[in-house]
Amino acid sequence: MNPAAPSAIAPAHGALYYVAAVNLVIWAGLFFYLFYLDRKVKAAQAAHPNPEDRP
Amino acid sequence: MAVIIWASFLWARPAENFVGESSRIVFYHVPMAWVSTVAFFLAAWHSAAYLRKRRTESDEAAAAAARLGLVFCILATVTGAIFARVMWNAYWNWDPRQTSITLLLLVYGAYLGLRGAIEDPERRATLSAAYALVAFVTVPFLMFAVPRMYASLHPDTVLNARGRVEMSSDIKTVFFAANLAFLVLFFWLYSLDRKVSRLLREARP
Repeated sequence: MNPAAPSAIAPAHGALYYVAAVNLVIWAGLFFYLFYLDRKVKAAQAAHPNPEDRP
Repeated sequence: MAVIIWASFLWARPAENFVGESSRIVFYHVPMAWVSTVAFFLAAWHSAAYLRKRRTESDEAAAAAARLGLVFCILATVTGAIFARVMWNAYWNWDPRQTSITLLLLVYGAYLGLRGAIEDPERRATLSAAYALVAFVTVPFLMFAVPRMYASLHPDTVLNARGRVEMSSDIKTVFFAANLAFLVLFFWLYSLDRKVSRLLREARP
């Protein structure tokens, strides 16, 4: 049976997961911004609809 | 960007003096902070242009830059907290870097608050342009001066005290490529935001 890892180096084992978490946070943040821009485009379209789109 | 993500995980070796693989977080965290500095500079630049020529486009450009700068600054704060968790076993410890970036978030959060609080477009543009110019004065102080004035757990800056970039060639390649890639991504988002703002302005009666 392996002895328990010293707590000081324990975070190192999962450090690559932390790098993956950093990636997730960044892309989630940037997609959130794109979503915000998409909402602004929809607001612009609602305020000034294209005549061709009208029924 | 896919190549940079691959290289950051699999190609570059972990740096010395970092816990485990945590040095790979630097490939993402530092570009976030740098891009936010560029964005805040752009906000100040366009604000000065607005005060000089009173063009609505300059006001929109300044607002878009500040908004995106704040997004990148939040991402720098969160990724920095994750790095702190790996390195020092705590997400937050009020290190001078963490304190100064929190102040920066408050300064630019207040800018957006100010914009949201004033209805008259001309008054909003004038006041927020003046505020953005004053706010930018704090950026070099909070980003570069404060962290160097106090003892900090934060690793050395890219250009260290000896005025040299001390990284192995593989780390340096991925690091500068990531900075460039995120800067390009920022300018793409920035141009999209400006186009959307123009669309909104033209759609208004």
